[in-house]
Parts: sequence; C-alpha cells; structure tokens
Amino acid sequence: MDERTLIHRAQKGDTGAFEQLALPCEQMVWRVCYQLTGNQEDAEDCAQSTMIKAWKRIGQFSGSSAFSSWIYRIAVTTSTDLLRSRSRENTVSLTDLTESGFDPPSRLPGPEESILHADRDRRLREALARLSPEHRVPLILFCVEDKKYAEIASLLGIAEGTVKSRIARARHLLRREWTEDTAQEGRTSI
Amino acid sequence: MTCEAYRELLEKELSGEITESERADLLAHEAACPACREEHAQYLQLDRDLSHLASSVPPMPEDFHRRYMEKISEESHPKGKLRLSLPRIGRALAAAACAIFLIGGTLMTRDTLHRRLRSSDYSLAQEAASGNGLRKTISAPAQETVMTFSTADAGAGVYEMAYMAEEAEMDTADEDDVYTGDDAESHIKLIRNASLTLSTTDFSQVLSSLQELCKTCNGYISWQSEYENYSGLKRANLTLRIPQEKYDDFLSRTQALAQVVRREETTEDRTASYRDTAARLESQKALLERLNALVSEAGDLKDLLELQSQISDTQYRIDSLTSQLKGTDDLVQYATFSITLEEATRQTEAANPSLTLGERLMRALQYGLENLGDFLSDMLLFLAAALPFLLPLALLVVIIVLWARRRASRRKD
Repeated sequence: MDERTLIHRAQKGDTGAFEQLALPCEQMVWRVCYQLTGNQEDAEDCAQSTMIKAWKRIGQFSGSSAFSSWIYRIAVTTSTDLLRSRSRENTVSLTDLTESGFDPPSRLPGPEESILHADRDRRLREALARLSPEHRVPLILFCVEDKKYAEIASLLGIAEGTVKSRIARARHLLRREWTEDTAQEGRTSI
Repeated sequence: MTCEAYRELLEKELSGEITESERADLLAHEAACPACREEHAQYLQLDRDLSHLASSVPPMPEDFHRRYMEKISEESHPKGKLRLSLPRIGRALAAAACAIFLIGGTLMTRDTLHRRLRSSDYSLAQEAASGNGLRKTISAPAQETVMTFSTADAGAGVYEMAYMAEEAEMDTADEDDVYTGDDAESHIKLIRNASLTLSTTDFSQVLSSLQELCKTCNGYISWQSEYENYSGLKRANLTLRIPQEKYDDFLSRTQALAQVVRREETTEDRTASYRDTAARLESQKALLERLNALVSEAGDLKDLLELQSQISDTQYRIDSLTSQLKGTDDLVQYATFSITLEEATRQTEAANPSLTLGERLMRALQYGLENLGDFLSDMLLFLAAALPFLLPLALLVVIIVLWARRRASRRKD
C-alpha cells in the first residue's frame, strides 16, 4: 500500500494505517528529539508527543510533502517548544542536572563507543545545553542533523538569513566554551 | 588583510559559501597569522565533534511504540462512542443556561422595566403603595391582550405619602391634647382612593365620556396625560377628584363605560390623626390667647420682645396645623380616582368573527412580528439593565478560568 493511500486511510481514522506510516519514522523522531533536547527523559516526552500530535493533525496533512518530512517538522517544533518553556522557567545546565542525580545517556557504556568519546559527547552536550534554544536548535540541525539552511529556515519558520546569523553566533559562543572546556579537561587529565 | 576581514571569510568558509579566490585570501592570511589559523582549527574541530554527536544517540525505549499507539487507540476509540464528551455537554449546558437567562430574564423583567423606564413617578408610587390604609384588590376578568399599566397610581401615591409624613409628626405630638369637635359624624375622616385600568376599542369616545362624567359628578381633573405605546395603541392616564358622596355613583358609571382590566380601592381612616391635629390646634389657639393677655401686663421691653417672639411662633404653628386639617378635609371631601385608559389591542379585533380567515391569519402574523420586535427590544433593555451585574460576574469568571488554567499547566509541568 503506498503512502498516499495510508495517509488517506489514517485521515479517516484508521489507526493501523497510521501505525504503518509512523513505524519507519520512529528512529528519526527519536533521534532528532534526543539531539535537540540533549537528554533521554525529555527526548522520550517529545517523541511521544510528536507521534500523538501527528495522529491528531493527520487530517490537516495536505500530502504536499513526504510524511517523514511532515513528522520531522512536528518533532522539531515540539522539542523547540519544550526547550523554550524550560528556558523561560529556569536555565539549568547539564552539570546541575548531573549533580541532582540525572544520568546522561552518553555515560551508558555502548558497545561501539569508547569511554573517551562518551565523555567528550557528554561535555559537548553540556556546552550546547547552555546555549539559548534560538541558537542551539539551528546549530544542531545544521551541524548534527546535517540540514541545509533553507530546510532549517522552513522547519523553524524563520528567514534563511536569520538561520545563518544564528548559527554563526551559536558557533562563536560554543567554540569559546568548548575551547575553554577542552583546555580545562586537558589540564585536569595532565 | 585584517583579522576582522579574515573572520568574515571564515564565516563564509564554515557555511560553505566561500569562493575560490576568497579561500586563497583566507589561506594566505592564516599562513601569516597563527592566532587566526588556530581559531579556524578550533572551528573545524568543533564541527567534527558536533557531527560525531549524530552517532551518539542512545537506543529508543523499548516500549516507545506501544505507548504512543495505546494513547492513539484511546483517543480514537473513546469509551462509548455515542456518549457525549464532557466538554460537549458543558457547552450545551452553557448555551441552554444563556438562553434561559436571556428569555426568562426578559419575560420576568419586561413589565418592571417598562414601568420604570416610562414613568418617573413610578418609584414614588411604589413606595406609597406600601403605606397605611385599607386596601382591597379586585381582579378583573382575564384579558390576555392588554398590558396593565399603573402609572396613574402615582397621583394618589403622592397624597398618601404626604399623609404618611403627617402621621409620623403626629406620633410625636402631645398625647394629653383632647379633641373638642362639634358633632360626632364629622369626626370620621375617611380618604377614599380608587385605581382603575380600563380597556376599550373606542378610545376617544370613552375618554370624552369619562371627562363628561367627571363634570356631571361635580368633580375635576387633577392630572391627565395621553400617549401612544410602542405598538401604536393609545393610552391615557387621568387623576380625577370626585366628591365623596358621588364616589360609588362615579365608580359604577365609569365601569360601565369600558371593560375593567384592573380595579384597586383604598380607604384610609385618618380620624385619629385628624383629632390629634385638631387638639393641637386648639391648644395652640389657647396659648395664643394667653400670650396676648400677657402682652398688656408686660413690665419692660425685654419681656415684651420675648412675648412677641413666642406669639409669632405660636401663630406659625396654628397656620400650619390649620393647613393640615384643610388638606385632610379636602382629601376626605374629594375621593381620588387614578384611571388608566387603554386602547384595546389588535388581537381582540382579530378574534372578531366578521373577519375572514386570511385577514385573521395576516393580522396574527403581523401581531407575531410586532411581538417579536417588542420581545427583542425588551431583551436589549434587559441586557442593558443586567450589564452592571454581568460585567463584574464575567470578570470574576475570567479570573477564575485564568487561575485554573495556570494551575493546571503548573501541575502538568
């Protein structure tokens, strides 16, 4: 059954058709939610919300783009909204979270990850978490998710020029933090 | 090239928008500037580290698929499809409550609003209606087409209020004063008032007959007003003063002129208060005589001036009491008739069997449209009258809803 038929059936309330559409997108939704939120707990909330929102809004889906692109957009919006609400409430660094008992996923020993890489990724995510959502989201989409400027502009609903300037600014801020952090880490290890 | 210009080129390089010639300039500057070279290297390292994050994603939770599909199934198959959801019931109930409030409020308040908005004397008449006196109300035969207006009561109300004030004054008077009247019959002081609402199709004829009847009974018109109501029907309010002895005669003949929709009669016994006033008058007169006698015996100028002052005050009280007695005598001698004469509505005429069914249908339709218009205008009036209550209520509801939402969102977070 092709995607168009599945979408049509899902729009009529067929949950089985929606399941067939959503299943191939699950990993992608999970990945982008995790990349943007930076922790497993928030990523899980956002990914669940993304799927449920997609089901609720399937009636509004015109089919002009692929279903995966559409659901990707929902995942980005949901994650950005969560980051914004967190940012409004309180800005908490990952260091604070770690101290309060939060266990970053990158600490979990993965079979293909070396301990060294895991530690580097954890620190980098900490540094990213200190950026504002306006800077963090475009930078992750560009550098981690490998999206083009135009795609990011479309996903976030902002001008391409704004995307470029935000990414440049985010890079500048992150480099400063990251260089200091790396230098400090180097001194500590010596 | 300055380091500042270099950074612009570096930005282009990082975003992948640099040209070949610009890259050559960039590399040339880096060869000469170790700091900028280092900065470029840091950026490249950062990009590599960031791109490495793409592969450092923890595995998706095992129950991820099951959880969202369960939620979706619940959403798409709520318990009992035919059952109305709570928000839907709530909306229906809210709409029903609004409709009941609007229609019920309009029907319940339309008469009161009409009276209050059309007669400035209404509040006075209402207050007077709760005064002393013997009052009997006689219900007239049902007349579904005529709306009862009792603005004519206002005239009698003013009188009644004046006498209520007198009574209050009387209560404080000297209890030892004794009435020394002439004959026993004149002691009974009854003030009779009648309020009538009449309905007729021949408005002008009945109005002139009423005026003529008033003259025949040696009475007079104290107040008269005529106007047309919102349906184009005429209405007249009259206050007539009729000699006491002609009261029953006038009442029976008036009732014969048109259909009586409402009749209310009041008999007020003012005998006791009249006696008190008369006794106080006699007492003041005796005091005046005594004071006049003392004037001739006054020794010096100071005493004389004091006496003159007391004589003046006593004379003033005598005049006031005499005026009160005359006023009561006037009300006793002349009964007050407050009459509202209304032109009969078209529905009464529509019931006339001489009209064809088509004509009656047309008239019924016209009547219905007129009533609809009246009802809508009444509804507007009701809303305007209720606005001072509704606005604070609405404000309160908005505050509660905002508070509840905020609380709910906090809980959710």
